[in-house]
Amino acid sequence: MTRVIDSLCICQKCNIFSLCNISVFLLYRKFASGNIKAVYTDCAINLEVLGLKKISQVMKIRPSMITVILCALIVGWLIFLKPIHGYSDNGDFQSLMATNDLYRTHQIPAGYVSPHFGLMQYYNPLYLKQITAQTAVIHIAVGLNRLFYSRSVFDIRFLGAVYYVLYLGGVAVLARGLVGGERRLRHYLMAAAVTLFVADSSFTLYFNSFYPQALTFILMLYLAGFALLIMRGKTLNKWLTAGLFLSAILLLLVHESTSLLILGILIVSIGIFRLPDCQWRHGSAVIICLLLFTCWVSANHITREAREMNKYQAMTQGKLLAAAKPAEIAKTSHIDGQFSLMKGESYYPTAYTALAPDSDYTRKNFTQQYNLPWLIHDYLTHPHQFGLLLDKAAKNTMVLRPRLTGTQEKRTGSKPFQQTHYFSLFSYLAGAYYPKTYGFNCLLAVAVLIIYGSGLMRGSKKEQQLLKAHLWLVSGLLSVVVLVPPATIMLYGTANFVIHMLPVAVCLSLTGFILLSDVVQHQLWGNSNAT
Amino acid sequence: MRLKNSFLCLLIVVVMALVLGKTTVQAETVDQRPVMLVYDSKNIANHGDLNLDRCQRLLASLGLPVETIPLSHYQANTLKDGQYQGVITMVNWGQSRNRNQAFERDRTAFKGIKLHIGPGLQADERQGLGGTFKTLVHQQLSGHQGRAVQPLSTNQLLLVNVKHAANALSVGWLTSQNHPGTTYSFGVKVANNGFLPELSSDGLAITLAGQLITKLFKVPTRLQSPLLTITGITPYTKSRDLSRLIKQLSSRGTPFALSITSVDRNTDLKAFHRYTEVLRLAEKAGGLIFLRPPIETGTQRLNEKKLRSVFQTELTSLGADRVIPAGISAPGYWNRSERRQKAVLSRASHVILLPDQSQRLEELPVEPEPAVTNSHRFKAGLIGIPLASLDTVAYRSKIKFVQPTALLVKMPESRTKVDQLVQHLQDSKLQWFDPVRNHLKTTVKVGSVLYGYHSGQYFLNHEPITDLDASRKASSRNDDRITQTSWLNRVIQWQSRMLLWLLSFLGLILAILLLIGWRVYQRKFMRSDVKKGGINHFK
Repeated sequence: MTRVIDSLCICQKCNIFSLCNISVFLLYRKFASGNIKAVYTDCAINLEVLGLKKISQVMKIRPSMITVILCALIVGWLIFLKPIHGYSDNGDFQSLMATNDLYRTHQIPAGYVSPHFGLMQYYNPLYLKQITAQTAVIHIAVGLNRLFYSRSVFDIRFLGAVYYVLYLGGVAVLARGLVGGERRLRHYLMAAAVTLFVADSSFTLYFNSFYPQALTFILMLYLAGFALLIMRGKTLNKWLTAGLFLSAILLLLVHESTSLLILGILIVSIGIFRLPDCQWRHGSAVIICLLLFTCWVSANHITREAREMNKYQAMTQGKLLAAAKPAEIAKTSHIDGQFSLMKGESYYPTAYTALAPDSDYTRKNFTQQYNLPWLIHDYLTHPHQFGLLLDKAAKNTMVLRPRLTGTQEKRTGSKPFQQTHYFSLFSYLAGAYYPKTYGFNCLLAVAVLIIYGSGLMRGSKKEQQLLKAHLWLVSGLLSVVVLVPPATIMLYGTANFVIHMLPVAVCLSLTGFILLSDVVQHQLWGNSNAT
Repeated sequence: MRLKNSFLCLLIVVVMALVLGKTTVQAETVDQRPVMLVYDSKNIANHGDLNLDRCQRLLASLGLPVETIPLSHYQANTLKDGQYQGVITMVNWGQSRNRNQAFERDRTAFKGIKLHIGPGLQADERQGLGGTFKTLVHQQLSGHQGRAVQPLSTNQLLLVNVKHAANALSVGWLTSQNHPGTTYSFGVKVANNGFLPELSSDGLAITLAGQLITKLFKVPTRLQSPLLTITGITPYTKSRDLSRLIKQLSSRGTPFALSITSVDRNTDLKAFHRYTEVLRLAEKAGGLIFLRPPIETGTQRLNEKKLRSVFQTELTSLGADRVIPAGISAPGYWNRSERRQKAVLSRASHVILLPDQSQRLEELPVEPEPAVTNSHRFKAGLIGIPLASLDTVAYRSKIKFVQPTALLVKMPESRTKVDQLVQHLQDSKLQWFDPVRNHLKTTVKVGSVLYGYHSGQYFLNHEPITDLDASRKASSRNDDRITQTSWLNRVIQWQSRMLLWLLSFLGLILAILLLIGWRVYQRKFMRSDVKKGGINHFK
């Protein structure tokens, strides 16, 4: 019996319910009979006593850990349990699947999530034709699938699981960076708010799909989390810094449009390199060169078809869409005015078109007749049109779900293109109430910078250091918010906003949370002794 | 007695009239039963699918509905005397030697018309046809129809009828360059049995096949001239080239038709009206417009309802600009698909069936075709044959077209090519189908609107259209779209803009105040701090 009490002491020390259970289990193993009853009662009393204390002190779980556990439960339920949820194919999967040796085993009607895919068994000429950061993730998932499930059928949940693990790591890093290690009530509230953002189903549904947005989102969590953690630390932690740059490089390599984040990443890196104890002065130049090179590779390492598509849609879903008299493009270029009828057309029309956008005729008479400098010049001479498109981009920034997709598996009685409303408060509020003009985003950027600037002017030297670093981080994020929309319109038009604008939406939200965290932790306005 | 005689005469007349009337009525009713087309393989690698499509279009142009079944899918007792007019066995892949015992048994028992196309003639068919057959290997053969001669493009194995049965009727003949003396008959008809060595893309072979099928199935036909059809006209075709082509054709008195595609969006743009303007020019020059449904792309296909609405939008927007289509032109597979047939093709009395695009083995079809397909018949179906397939024919003007035919020419891409095409047409010496002289009468029904054409005159809901340009003048004022926004939207727009200005104004003031504050702070407290700090630092 003394041994039992000894064990209970340990149990009291750890104070955690789950560990309690483990100790009980161990006791059960030790004393196979007789003493078990006593152990249970003791443990129950123990818990009752503990329950009276404040939760934060009892649980001894950090708020960031709570965020991770909540996210694990919320997202795990959504993507792993049958019927599984994800995003259905809107036509983007085909090339990604083909380059990763996957294929569609049977015809699933559009608007339903397909849970299973085939693994190609023979030579595939398209294999690894297009390598992105996503390829690595898909390969890990396929490897796990081969090991544990099947060599011929791929279950999408293996991909979901790889994303899930990466995501939980990202959430942990971000939550720790934003909320810190303290256990006050406000930190728990902050953790709850962060959960609302990171566990939103609009983001997490991407895990059970082949869209590149999943990895973009996860890596942005890592990037911001690592940056915050580094800035929080008293000395520059080289592992955190390595993590930051690794996630930055991977983020640049996810999709050709994520290469536009380079400016934001560079600003954040400068913020890191300017930390007082940074000894990487020489290494910094190398890292910046590496980042720039990665950006160049990512932007140029795309198939000819993708290049043609971007060029075509930059015109049809950009310039032509904004112009009141689109036929006037004939005045400044060699394009026949008749091509203004392609206004709004996608490179892959849904079902019908008068003239295929990828036909030789279109290429010869339309796509080859203009280039990016012409487009930039044209937008400069018609700023009003550009303004319209920027507002359109702003309107779509907070639309986080891809169009023409469903989120459910095909079951009896389910309709195609149905979208779940599970845990989507954040995306609903952001989509419905966030102002939908580009000018507002610019003003917001200026306002946030003024707030940080004014915070920097007062405050002690130690706080100044943190705020200065945060100012760099926030200006990096805001540079994405301000500069990515115009670049996107020039390069891709208004097509596929959901891929191109996701980083903007995430950056905007992260800025908001960093600001909130600094306000909550009294780093911006007075009362600094409170922390 | 006289009364009796006259009554008898009257009776005889009445009976005669009844009998004659009945027989004429019987002659007019066309056999509604379909023709069963059984093929061994599509043989996509050798474009056998195109041969199949050609056969289906040829039958449709002759007014014969077709039910196509792959040999492997044939179920015993499907082929019954009462249900099918005839059966066509098409062998696309001779080496494969696909057999289906049930089919061969049913075919032997079948008493209707039997036609075999290609190699692999079975015993029951040989028996029906009589004579002897021989396989020619790698010989350059020429097909003959009267004086017209064309070297055949095939140089694979070709099964030909060497010795005729006594009651055999041959359609066209073949000569070999290796042995100029010997001739083989091309198409063979023995009572209800027929044989064709191939149905290739050569123009002459198609016309010969048409003749044989006409004779076999006793289709009432008469010789007709082919319709010159310019294909591949889109709203993006250079309007200058198109109008040049139209003017040159009309000035040379060549009747023509245009197979056009249109758009279902952006029809309010100036470019669309410019397109319809050129099409009206064609109408005024006597050209017929055949609307081609849009090209199918992407990974999804529309259902019947949506497809119909797309097609209706296109027709209505064209009709609003007084471009009245005389019919529809569509690739062969549109006629094999129930949905496309119902939504689009059944709307028109006249349909040009264009050749299918060749499938590629590595490219999976977006929407796989069902194994058994039904091709429908039209009031008038025209088989589309590329004019280029007649280029190698000597004495082209002597070709006889028994089936309604459209000879297809692709729209040239430049001005010089337009001139070359017109010259080429001039040289071809073909007699073209003239819709005015032949009193062509067509209808296209869309929704509640009926477009009509009758020997040069266009009709809208049976009302003749006197001035094709009339509606254009009225609508030309609204060329440039004026978007009318509702007052609520305007208020919201105005409000958001005002809010932006207000915010930026406040921000500016805030920034100025902040700067002033900073200055005051600096003047009052900072100077000493800075000095101190500086000294400390230097220490």
